[in-house]
Amino acid sequence: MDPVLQAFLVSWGWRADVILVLALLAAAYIIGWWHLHRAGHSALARGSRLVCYLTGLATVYLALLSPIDSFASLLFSMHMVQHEMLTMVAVPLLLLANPLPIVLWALPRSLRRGVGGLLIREAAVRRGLWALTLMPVTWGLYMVTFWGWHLPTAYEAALRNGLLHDLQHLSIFVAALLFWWPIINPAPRLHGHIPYVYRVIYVFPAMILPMLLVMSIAFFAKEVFYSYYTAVPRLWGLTALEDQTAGWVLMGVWEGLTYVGLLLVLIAKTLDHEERVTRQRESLGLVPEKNSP
Amino acid sequence: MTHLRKTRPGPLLPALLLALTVTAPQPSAWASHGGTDQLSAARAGPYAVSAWTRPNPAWNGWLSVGVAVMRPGTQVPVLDAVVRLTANSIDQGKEPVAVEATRRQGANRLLYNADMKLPSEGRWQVTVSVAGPEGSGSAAFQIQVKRPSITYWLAVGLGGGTVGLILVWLVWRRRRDALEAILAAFVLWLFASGCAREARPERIALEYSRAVYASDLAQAYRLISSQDRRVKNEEIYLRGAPTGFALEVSRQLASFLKVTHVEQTINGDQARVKLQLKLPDANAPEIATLVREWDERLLNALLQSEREEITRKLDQLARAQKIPMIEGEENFSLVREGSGWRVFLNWAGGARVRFRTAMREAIPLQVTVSPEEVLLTPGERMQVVVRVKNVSSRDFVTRVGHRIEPKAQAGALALLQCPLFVPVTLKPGETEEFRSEYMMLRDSPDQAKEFEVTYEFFPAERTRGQASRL
Repeated sequence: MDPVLQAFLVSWGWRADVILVLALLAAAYIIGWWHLHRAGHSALARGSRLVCYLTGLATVYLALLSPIDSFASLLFSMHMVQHEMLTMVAVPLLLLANPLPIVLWALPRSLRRGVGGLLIREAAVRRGLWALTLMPVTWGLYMVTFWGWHLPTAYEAALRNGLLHDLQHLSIFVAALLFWWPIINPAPRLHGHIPYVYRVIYVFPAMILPMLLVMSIAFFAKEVFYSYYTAVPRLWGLTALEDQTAGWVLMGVWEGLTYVGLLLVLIAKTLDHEERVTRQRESLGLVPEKNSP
Repeated sequence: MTHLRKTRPGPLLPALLLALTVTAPQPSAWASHGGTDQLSAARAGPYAVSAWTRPNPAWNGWLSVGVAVMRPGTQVPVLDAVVRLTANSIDQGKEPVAVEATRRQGANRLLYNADMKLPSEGRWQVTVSVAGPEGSGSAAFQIQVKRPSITYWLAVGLGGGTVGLILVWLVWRRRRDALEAILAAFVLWLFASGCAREARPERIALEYSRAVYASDLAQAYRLISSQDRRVKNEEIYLRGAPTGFALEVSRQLASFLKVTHVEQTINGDQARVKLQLKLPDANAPEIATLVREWDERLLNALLQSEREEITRKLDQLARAQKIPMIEGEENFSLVREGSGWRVFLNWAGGARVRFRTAMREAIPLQVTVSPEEVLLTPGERMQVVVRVKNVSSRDFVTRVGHRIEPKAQAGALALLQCPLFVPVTLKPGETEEFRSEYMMLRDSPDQAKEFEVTYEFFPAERTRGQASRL
């Protein structure tokens, strides 16, 4: 086997803080899910949600502790894989699992009531979350955070400083959670039902603008932006510039495919939703007869 | 909201979870990521070296170093080098700190990683020495060690305070299960960290035996007591140590070493360990043929595919239990140092051996000997290299006489191997190297503390009578 590939395959990291947080999150969800399931709330505690949640956590684990993380300091393209795994895979999976109400059921009753109290309509925390999850806010926050961290100064500072690098991942992850929130709209539904057409409008510019930026960098950049990568070993015959191009292309393709898939789903949901509304209105006799004068 | 049956989770799960994450080894090299670049593809002999450190500055002296060894120009990684890091204090005359960086010590197995503890604040120069099949070289960088700032202590205080507040709250709310969990985790942590820190004397003795057997002198040196290390520095100790693949294959063979019986006596800060060992017979034909008769130059010149083949075959032999083994017994004295044990060799009580050369008359040879002086303890072996150059314009045949003084104790210093007893012909300008091996016998008399070994050179045609008188 190629010795570099061999080294890659065994380059697993170990971080107690990451493992502890992931284990606690997994335990909380499993306990809550089990409680709800046993109480007969199978609609809320669906098996697919459990799978989504655990896959999401496993993706975070792979992104932060697998060879992908170890080699992210040697290859820009690997670092981009890591960021895409966190923002485009782990986050939507976790939100699809509708985590908040399920995790609440893992807490002791008094604590559950306390936390639940923070999310009732008049509570300040809920109002804060409502403001934070407004579509323009989440869109702007995500774009600024994600792309801001890819500016050479910020990116290289993160590579050189472990704490800053953790902050980079944490902020990108939180910004992605907020970005995906209005798209998936999990509980508590802070903005009620968000029309699917709004979601399409929300996603479309997120797809187009960064794609244009990414592809133009990928194909027109003639120099290495991140000098950090010029001093590292060259792996699998990739020069620093080729690695940079590969990283941007990979990011563009990954995000492009995700957004296109998402748009298709949202358009289908829009049509489906409109059809259901029409049917309901018809059943209530609110739609005028087509042949009436 | 539906009423759910109350289940009371036992303390075991959270305790185990907490204990697992807190007690598992987590040196900073395992929290892989980047670091401050200290060397960027700097030349180190035939290699290019990049080095990264975390954190910067090194608070409290803890420093994690990652080193990439590459071929200059292409920056293709070199994965079979031996990398050593030596930190020397610039501002204060502290003892140097030396560690070996290996690919096994960190998360990123492409880099050579090591954690260091620099004992005092101020500036330190860290030298990265690389040895490998293509030769050796070094590069250096400086690093600042600082005491933790007020922010650090504030963070520690806040962390401790938070834990304290949680405990108080749990006591106040009579959360017995949670308290049990925390207590169980704490006990487990104490137990596991205690086990992890203090390796038993027999384990150190075994590690030392393994390192010596593998000629992994860098590793052996780390297991030797500081009292001994003050007498003989690492540079001298490491002279003649194999490098590159020769070292790797020795290490592999050493991993098959087994202990069959242990006797151990601990008396305060001192321990005596007797190990009965089963060692692979490195000179058995099955092994010697495979490893090119232990010719270091040949071994280090092998292609990657040939190296993998040797490694695989040795593994196969081991799995099939076909490695020829010999049995032996070794006694060790150990001393407790800090939280661990170290092998005490009593180098201070060893004998000083000086080597020099002499020529009976003007002969056209330039001769050097290396090392010029060593310290040998009973049972210890050493090699001396004699380099001879013919500076004349014609062939020259020489013989060498060999004299150990004082003659009364000469028997304590055994000459195991010397290729200089036969006449040697040197062409004009030619340089030859000869390696002699000595051993200080275990039962050498106490007064044998100083030896002088002289290599005396003669023209070959006149040597027979003269040499025989030596």
